[in-house]
Formats: sequence, C-alpha cells, structure tokens
Amino acid sequence: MWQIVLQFTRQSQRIFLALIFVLAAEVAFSGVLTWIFPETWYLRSFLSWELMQRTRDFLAGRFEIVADEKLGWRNQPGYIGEKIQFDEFGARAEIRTTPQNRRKNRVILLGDSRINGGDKISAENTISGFLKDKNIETLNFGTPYFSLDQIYLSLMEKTKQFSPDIVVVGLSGENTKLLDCLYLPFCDTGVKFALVKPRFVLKKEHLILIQPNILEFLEDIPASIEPLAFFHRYDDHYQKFEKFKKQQFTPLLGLIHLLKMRFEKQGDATYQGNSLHQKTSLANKELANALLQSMQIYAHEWNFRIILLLLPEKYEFEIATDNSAYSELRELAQLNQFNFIDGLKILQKEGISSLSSDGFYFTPEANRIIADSLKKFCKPELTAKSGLH
Amino acid sequence: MNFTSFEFFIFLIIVYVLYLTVNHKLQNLLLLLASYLFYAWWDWRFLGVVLFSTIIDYFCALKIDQHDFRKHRRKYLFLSLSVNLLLLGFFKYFHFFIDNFILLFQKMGVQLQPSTLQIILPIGISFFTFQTMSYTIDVYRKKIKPTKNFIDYALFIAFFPKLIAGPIERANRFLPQIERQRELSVDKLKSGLLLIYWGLFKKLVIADNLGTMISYFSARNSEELTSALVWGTLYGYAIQLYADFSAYTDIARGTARLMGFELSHNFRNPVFSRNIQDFWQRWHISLTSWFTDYVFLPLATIKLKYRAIIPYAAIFFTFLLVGLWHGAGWNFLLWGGYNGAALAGYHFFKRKKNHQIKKKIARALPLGDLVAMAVTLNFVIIGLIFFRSASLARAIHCFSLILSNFSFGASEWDLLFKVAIYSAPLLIAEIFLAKNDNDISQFFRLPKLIRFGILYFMLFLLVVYHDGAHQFIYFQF
Repeated sequence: MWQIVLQFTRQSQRIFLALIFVLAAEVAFSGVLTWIFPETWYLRSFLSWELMQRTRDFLAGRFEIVADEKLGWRNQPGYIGEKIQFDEFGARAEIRTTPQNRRKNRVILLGDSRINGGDKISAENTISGFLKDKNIETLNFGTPYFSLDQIYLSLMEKTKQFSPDIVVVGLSGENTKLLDCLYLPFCDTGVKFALVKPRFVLKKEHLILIQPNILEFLEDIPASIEPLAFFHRYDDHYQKFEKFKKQQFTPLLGLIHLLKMRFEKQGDATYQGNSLHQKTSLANKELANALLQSMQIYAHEWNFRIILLLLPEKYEFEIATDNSAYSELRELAQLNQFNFIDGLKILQKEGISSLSSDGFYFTPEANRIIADSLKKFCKPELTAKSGLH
Repeated sequence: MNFTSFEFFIFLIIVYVLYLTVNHKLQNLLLLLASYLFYAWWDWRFLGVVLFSTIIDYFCALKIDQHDFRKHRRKYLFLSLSVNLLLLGFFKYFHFFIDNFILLFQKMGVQLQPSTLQIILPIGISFFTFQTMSYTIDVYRKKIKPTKNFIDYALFIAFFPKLIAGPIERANRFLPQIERQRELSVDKLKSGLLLIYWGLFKKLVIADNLGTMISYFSARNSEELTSALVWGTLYGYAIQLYADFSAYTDIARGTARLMGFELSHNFRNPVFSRNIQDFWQRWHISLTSWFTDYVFLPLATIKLKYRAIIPYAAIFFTFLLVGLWHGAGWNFLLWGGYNGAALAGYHFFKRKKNHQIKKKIARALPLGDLVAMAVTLNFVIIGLIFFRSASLARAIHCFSLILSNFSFGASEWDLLFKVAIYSAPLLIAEIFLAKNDNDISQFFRLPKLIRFGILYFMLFLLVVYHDGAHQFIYFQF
C-alpha cells in the first residue's frame, strides 16, 4: 500500500512544485494586492456576516444597548427584555427611578455586565438590588462590554446628572483590555457586535480623549474608507486587520496561518491544562493607572466618594496565585488611595469558590455577599474605616 | 472528534500511516481500535452501548444460523431486535413517551410527577443500531451467512468514518470489504482526497455560514418574522441540511476510500427530483432503503381484508417511523406524516394514471420537468417547517407567514441574496455530478488549469469565509 501512496506522491510532484511557486507568488504579491484592492473590500471579508447583521440590528435598537455618540454605546432607556429592564435613564430597574427630592443615600453603580447582572438573574438579585434598602437608593448603570475609559466618561456624565454620594466602580482585569482599542472587531474580545468606542491616550502624563464620530462610523462601515483611516491612526489593534490583509487573504498563506493558529491553540490548551500558576498581567496598566487617578481627582472636585469593587475572573477564582491581573489592579487601587473592596477575598471568606455556570457572572448569593460588604461603607456617617482597605 | 476538527486531522494521519504499515489482519484490528477511540472521544461512557449491541447481535446472528427450526431462529432474532429497540427506546424516546404519558393523564385529571431522569443521547445510536438490526434480519432471512470473526463484525458496526452519521451500510455489501484484502490505487487516493476536500468545503463554507444565518433569524420573535424571512430561512435551511449531511457522507466516503473501502452513496442529486417518490429515492438513500426493506415491504405484503389500502397505509406508517427515527418529537412525527401522506397520495394517483391527462399536462407545460422539479422541491422544503421548528405553535405560525406579512427590508434582501450565493456552488456541482453519474473522479478529466483554478478558489473561500461553528446536523439523530 505504501507503494501506491509513494506512486501517488511521485505523480503529484508537479502539483507540489506548482503550489510552492504559487506560495512564493502569494508572499511576493500579497502586499501589492493591498494597494490594488480597496480597504473596504478587505473589511467586508474581515467582518463576519453575523457581526454585521447584529450591528445592523443593534443600530435598529433591537438589543438592550444602543449606539451613543460619546460613550460608544449605552443601556437602551426604557428597554424591556425577558429579565432585563432599564428605566428612562438606562439604569437597571423594574420601576421608574425618581432622582429628584431624595431622602436617601444615593449610590451609583458603574461597570460592565457583571455589575449590570446579566439576563440570567432578576434586578433584585444583582449587587444593586441587594444594596438597595430604606437608607440607600441605587442606580445600576452597569453596561455590557464597558471598559475603564468608558466607565470614566460615564462617571463624569452620571455624577453631573444625579449628584450621588457614592459611586461604586466594578472593575476586573477585563476592563482594561480595550483601553487601546477603538473598533472592537480589531481586538480579540469575543463581543458579537462591531462597536466603535472612544479611547484615551497618554501624552506627557496627560489624558487626551480620542473621540471618533461613532454614529457616523457605525453607519458607514464597511462601505467608507474614512473610519478605517481614523482607526489606522488611533487604534493600537489596527495591525490585526493589516495582518489579515497581508497574511490571511490569499489561499495558501491563509491556510498556513490557519494551521499555525490551530497548532498554537492546541498548544495553549495543553499548557493551560497543565499549568495552575499562569501569569496574566494587567493590560494597558499605565493608561489604567492614569484613568484611576483622574477618577479620584474628579471625585474630590465634585464631592462624592468612589468605592472600587474589584471583581475576579473565573481563572482567578480557580488558581492560587498573586501573579494575576487582579492583584495588579489591587496594587493600583492601593497606590491611588482608593477605598476598595477585595471581591475575591470576601467571596472566598464566605466559601464561594466559583462563578455561575456560565463562568462569567456572579451567582445571586455572591452578589448578596458583595452587597453586604458594600452596605457597610454606604452609610453617610461612615468613612474609610473598619475593614475598608 | 468532529470531521472538521484539528484533532481528527491528526488522528487520521496517525491511523493512516499505521494502516499502511501493517498487514490485513492487523489493519482490521487497528481500524477497530481507532474507531472505538474515535467514538470514546465524544463520550467514553457510551462505548459500552456500542459494544453491548455489537456483542449481542454477533452471538444472535451465529445462533440464528446454527438453528434450522424457525421457532429457534425467531427467538434469537427477537432477542436481537428487542435489545436494539430497547436501547433506542430508552436513550432516544424515553422522555418523549414519558412526557406525553404524563400530559395524557393530566388531561384526564390525574397528576403525575414528571421524570427527573437525565438521559443523554449516545451519538450515532440511530445509525449503528439500524446497521446491527439489518445484519441479524438478513441472517434470519438467509440472505447472508454470519461472520465468525468478531473483529470483522465489530468493525462492520463501528468503522469510524460511518459510525456517527452513516451511511447505514448493509452486511452483504460491507463485510466482504472487511474480510478481503483491500486494494489501493492512485485514482482511489485522488478521488478520496477530492471527496474529503469537497465535503469540507460544503460543510465549512456553505452549511456553516448558512447555519449561522438561519439560527440568527430563527431566534427572532414570531412577531418580527416576515414572509420573505420565513421563505429565506426555509430555502437556506434546506440547502444547509443538504450541504451538511452530504458533506459528512462525502468526508466519510473519501476517508474510507483512502483505505480501500467503498461506502454507499447516500444522495443522488435530490435537487433534480421530479416527484416525491423520486425525491425519496435520492435523499438519504441508505435510510430509505433500510425502511423499505425492513418495514415497508413486510407491511405491504400483509394479507388482510382491505387489501387495496394496505400499500398506502404501509407507506404512511413507514414514513411516520422515518419521522420518529429523526427525533423524539411531534414535529418529526408530523414531518413524517406529511411526507408519508404525499407519497401515498402520489402512488394512489399514479396507479390511476390517465395517459391523456398526462399528455395534456406535458403539452401545456413545455418546461414540464423544470416545473415538476420546482413543485417537488418546494413541497419538500415547506415540509421542513415541521422538521426545523422548535414547537408546534412556532410551526403553525411559520405556515401562516408563508403567504402573509410581505414587508421587505434590508435583512430580507440580505438573507435571500446570501442563500442564492451559497446555493450556487452546490447547484453547479450537482449539475456536474448528475451529468457524470455521480462519479466525482470525472473532475480529473477537466483541463488542468481549470481544475487548479477551481481548487485554488475553493481554498480561498475555505480559508477566508469558513465558519466552522456548527456540529453536523445529523449527529443529533
């Protein structure tokens, strides 16, 4: 049988030679092709159908988040889903929130969908739901996929609008990954929308806001060249698209890339399976630090307190190491003299050792424990004392 | 281990290198062990189910052959069939029957506790149990002699390319291929590789991309659906289903061919079916021929008082079972009934054929064949509403939308355009294969430059536009 296979290989020699020739041609010309074909043509192939359709539906207001010129996106005011409802301000609540004439201690919660609570649990079972009582009124502005820069922009907007006493900022290592990104498909996020967001850059230790024309860009992509030129200039992840154009858009080079990716993925899976002490450092640490500093300064100016709520990721629950993004976040919180709650420590102390079955959200029980810890610091007479880090 | 996975790619290379190195006897043992490993990769616990069914049928077949008395032979046939049907019934239909039983009692005012037993369906159970049943029935009918070599028999059941989703092979066709020395040729290798390549293209480019679209629109609320979306998802689903299932068969046939085996055709250009009978002779052939031989023919030849209606009733009943074979749900039963009623009706009118009317129709329709194909396809596609819908209410709503809510927006255009684009390569290939008696190796008779161009373009689409997010649809059956 080997003889037949060898005979087949000999007969295929010319095909192999032709393939090598074609591969060489692809290497030589793939760069040239990017000058011939318009970028928008590549972008259409780069974005999957589902991503584009979901974005179209997102623009049509079919989801719980809607496009926003300043923040990139926000909770859709008045949205009523199966489990999630937002009030007219975009805060998660089953009833209309009345911010005027308050008598309670007002707490705003900011962060991503873990602060929001997600669509698996009701509003009462979120951190905000458990925190609310006769002395505390809460406004849950947790927004899916938000990163720290958007949380900062949202903080400025909401504090002006609602004059809170306390702002709880939920934060995990995930929230700093997109700080250097404008267009989400260029970053490996797993977000199933092609969203555009603002970002900050650090220039001589000052934060400068890069604000794209979000609504215009979302409407124009992938047909217009203008958003791509903007992303090319300001998005640090644009190189992923460049790589796609040059290395993945011709058949043989693309095949090699695909096989390489599969091998690496297999290798990573084996490595992670064997390693309990992997190190995942905090992404964009410098920017994150600058943003946290600015938040602190802003809170002093506007006379409210910020409590950072540090939230662990799934793997941080499972591994016993100090080499995680979480511990770096904790260092930043201490460095900037924040009042913070160590979510991992509190939950582990109460015997919670895993997240909900989806591996991302907290269980209602975990939310209750976190809310109980927060409650101690949400009374106006209390300052940064007992148990507060 | 999915055919489109990286693990399978590595698995196949290792198994193939070993296969080429060892002698015939060891080849069979190697393939058997590889097949069990392949199956255990999904869930090792269910390997016991495959082994149990294999051992029972191996011994039953030998016992049937040893006895001349019909009574004894029947006893062992009964044992074999009961074991396999019980396995199927327990793993596949337990919840369906229990839930409906409880519902029935509730309607009568008796409250029963619902079952809390969680039963996971062993993958491929409908395929391998049908194969072993056909073996013992054929031995009982003295169509074949049972094999005494357990490894050969076990390999006949578990041969990995066809284990999970067929084709459902018959012993008289496949066992001799296991028993004799297999031969390879350069042409076999070439056509085997081409079958795998074409199968991967159909699965990753056509079926999976369409699958993403169909799932996306199917998840919409009933109020958001329009007539065009329902038609678009129906056509899209039909193409996805065909591309997906035929892709599995092609990869299975291609893999088997690399080792010198020849698996049966499961499809013969169903797109060109001229009537419902023609369609069922072209679609999932290994299953329909199984039901014809082991269910329909015994039923149709029963001697009863109302002899005239027996064949039609047999067709209808057989198709109810075909529906149930696909899944434990009322939607599958209705789908089977829909096709069974159509086929029985077709045979009824065919029997009472009126040549004059036929001629008149043929004269009135110069494109008679095209019209017949379009009518047949649309009839089959509409029936898929039952097949695809998650609930009866949803199916009824989809039926109501076929001819209402004609609003047409960007999503509708996009879906219909994409369905047309993805069906184009499939249709071209169908025409090519139909012209060449479904022999894919005829592709190598095309001019070299055209061949290379086609394969290169397919690779481009595979690399850039593959989706790869979906399991093969027929794995769930």
